[in-house]
Amino acid sequence: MEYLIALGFMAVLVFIYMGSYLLNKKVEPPMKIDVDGGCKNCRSIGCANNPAHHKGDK
Amino acid sequence: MDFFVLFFGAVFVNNVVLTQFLGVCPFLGVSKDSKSAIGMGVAVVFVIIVSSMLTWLLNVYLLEAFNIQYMQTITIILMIASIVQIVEVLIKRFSPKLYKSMGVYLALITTNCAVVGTANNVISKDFDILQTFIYSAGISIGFLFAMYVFSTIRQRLGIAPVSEGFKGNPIALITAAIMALSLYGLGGLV
Repeated sequence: MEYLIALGFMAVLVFIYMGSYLLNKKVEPPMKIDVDGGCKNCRSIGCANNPAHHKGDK
Repeated sequence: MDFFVLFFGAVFVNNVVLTQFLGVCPFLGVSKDSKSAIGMGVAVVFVIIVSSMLTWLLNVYLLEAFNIQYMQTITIILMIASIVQIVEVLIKRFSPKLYKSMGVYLALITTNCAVVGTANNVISKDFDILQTFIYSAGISIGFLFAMYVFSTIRQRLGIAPVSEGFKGNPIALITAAIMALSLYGLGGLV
């Protein structure tokens, strides 16, 4: 029973994350932000704003 | 008095960056100018306080109640990621100005281990809800303090006559070490 609760809880958490991620993607930013200024030194590859993610974009 | 000691200890004595060495990536990466450092710091203040409070509530009323404490880490990680996304949506909708100043830094907080570390500490130290609020506020203000002070020093270092071999990251790391040593002087005070 305990494992079922744990699994259900994890499913809820994943669902909440996916929902919030999709919602965030759907909401357009109010203006184009200058990512170059902020991302110049940070080498976080997990960040969606990292210019390295958009190298292949046209 | 206890609350003051907890707050003071969290800001200075147990400073999250300079004493616990958590969140060093944004500390070094986003501290080249003080404006960016403040933007990152303010975003971290908000996310650390909200995520720590939520972690405490979930831990007490769900994980402990159903005896599933082994889910702590995954809960903290997924919750922080969700909070960051939701906060970004809210800022996009209601405060374009704020989004412009800290939109980039908000996304980076998901990978900031200071946030995870604080949420984990809150649980391991057995705090109550008020202590959790004061501790998380202190830790995040300590992060903001360290970021701002470090960024102003780096701005000055940019125009200082530093020898060629020490320019850039080497002198920044030496500066961070001296800052950490100065806070070690407060060790044992709390």
